[in-house]
Amino acid sequence: MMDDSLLCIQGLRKHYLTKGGFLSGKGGVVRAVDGVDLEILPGETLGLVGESGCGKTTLGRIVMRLEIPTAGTVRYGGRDVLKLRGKSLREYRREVQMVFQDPYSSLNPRKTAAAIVGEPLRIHHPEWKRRERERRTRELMEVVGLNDEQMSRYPHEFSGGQRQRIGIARALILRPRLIIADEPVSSLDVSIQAQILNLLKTLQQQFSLTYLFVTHDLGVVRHMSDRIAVMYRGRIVETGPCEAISGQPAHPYTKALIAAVPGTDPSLRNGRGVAGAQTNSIDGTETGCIFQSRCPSRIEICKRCEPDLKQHGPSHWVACHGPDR
Amino acid sequence: MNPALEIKALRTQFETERGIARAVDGVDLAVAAGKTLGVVGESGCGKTVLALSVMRLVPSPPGRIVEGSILLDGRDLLNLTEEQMCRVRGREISMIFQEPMTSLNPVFRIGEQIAEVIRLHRGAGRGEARDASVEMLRMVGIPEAHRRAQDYPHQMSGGMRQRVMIAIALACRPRVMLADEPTTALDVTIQAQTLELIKHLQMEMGTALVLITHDFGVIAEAAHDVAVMYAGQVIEQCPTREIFASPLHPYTVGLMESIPSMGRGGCRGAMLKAIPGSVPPLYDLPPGCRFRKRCPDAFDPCGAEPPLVATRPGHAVRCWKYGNA
Repeated sequence: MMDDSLLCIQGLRKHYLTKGGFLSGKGGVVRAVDGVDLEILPGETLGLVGESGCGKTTLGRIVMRLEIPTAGTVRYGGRDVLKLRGKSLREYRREVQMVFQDPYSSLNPRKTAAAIVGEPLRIHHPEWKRRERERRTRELMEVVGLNDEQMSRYPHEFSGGQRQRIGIARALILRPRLIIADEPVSSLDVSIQAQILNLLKTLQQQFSLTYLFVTHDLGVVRHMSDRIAVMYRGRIVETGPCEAISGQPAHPYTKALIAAVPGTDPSLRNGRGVAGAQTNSIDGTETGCIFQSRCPSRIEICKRCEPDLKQHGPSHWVACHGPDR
Repeated sequence: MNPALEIKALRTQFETERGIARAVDGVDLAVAAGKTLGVVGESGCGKTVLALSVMRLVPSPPGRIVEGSILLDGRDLLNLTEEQMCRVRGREISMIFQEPMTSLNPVFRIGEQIAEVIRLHRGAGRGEARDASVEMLRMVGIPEAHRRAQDYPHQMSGGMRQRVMIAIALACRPRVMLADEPTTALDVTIQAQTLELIKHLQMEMGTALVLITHDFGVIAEAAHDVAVMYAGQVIEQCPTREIFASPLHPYTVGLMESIPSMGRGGCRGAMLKAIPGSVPPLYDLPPGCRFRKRCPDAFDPCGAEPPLVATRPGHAVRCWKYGNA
């Protein structure tokens, strides 16, 4: 662990108990996050990529302290996030904010845009004069590209892209340092997606923000990230600099992900496609590598022994028995 | 060769509180047997209404096919009675939708749902239909087809359900298949598998396929020809390789440049070239060219509506930049 990291996650686990279904019999354990180590340096963007159900959203929610992990630690600026209480927790919540995927359901339909954006100020700075709060709200809405006249409108009067701008303004109003963006452009049209990605980049420079950028879209993650972590079934299977992950991926799953992106340059398709789908084991009795059932290059040891993250290149780590062969 | 499906001057409108929405506004398209026509555009461009019009499934009221013709092997579907149309749907033209969960009936086993189509359209007996449905499941690559035919939709993953939808759509070997965002709801690795499957089966059966998507990557993978839609109209149409090699319409160019792709640009790319503004509402279309307000190349003639004109054989574009003023 480096001392200068802004966020440091170690050995993080989140297991959910499933109740026995009324038809399917006894319950089990879903290992949504299963032993994750990650760190984010101030000012960088860490892209967390994976398919649905891999645990990337749960990870983001734990960092937000919306979920309590089963095991592991989350340290923010050296302090244990999970032990924060009262005033220090409020302070943490000011500094770490979230942008959600769905701008339709994450905005209160009964509040105006200005009220939505200004609400965090009302909660965290009740001592401020109303005029001061309004001034800051207006200022920030202008920064994200919304005009004065739009301040008194309701969410349904905005397009998807504009709603996401409101969501971003709300996340920024308290001047946070770390933004967790969970699929922030996935529900937007391509032409609008580019506007929002550009806005996020501009804001990052303007406000010295650090991003944990969660997405399933490899093109987007490559465009936005300094470093990329690839997640599969609750674990990080590969992590490293953006160039290494997208240019010389080492884990068969990363290769398959890149090969599966439709319409990419054929020369980039050095990996083979994979059969099957990501399945989540409920009982947790299987041994060996979590990817073995879909892996095109599995070997004997993959069945018995789970691979740890091993260094593959400069800051490039891979959890696979293969690359060292 | 005569096209299997030919759409001529089709106009579909919806009555809304705010005026008449011209969802499909004078569209001409054709697709030959064994070929794939990709229809690409952002939400609200009319691509889904186009497909529903061909199926004659536009909800009416408020929707109405105002004029045009839809020729299936030369026969105009718009002249058929509803009863005759029922025999065409599923047998001669079929459709797959984006969301495989909502388009399967949750209370019937999937084998029965496929068998139903076969009984209805091929007049097969129960036993024969049951065998044929298992055969279809095997064809779409579902392992242990015999056993899985007994499953209910909720017991299958998203990718498997979409395979079932494809099995239903192809059960009667239709002349034409419409696929509306068939892979959008699926994870990348599953998306690639599903697209391969559709391509493979379509070739084998000689079906004409209309592939509707927002994703140029999907077009690149699967379509022979492509039509780009904007605000209810086709604004550019050509063979697929030409749309990537030499896109003409400023909207097509803008759309392609706004996608953060795996092939183009480096990691942490510079700002994307976003298209400013958003799509005009279909009930309040501006006079003249519909893209004028967002277009970087707009000039005087754009006040008048441009026609769709061939700039060279097989490549048509709706833009004054390319002459014909």
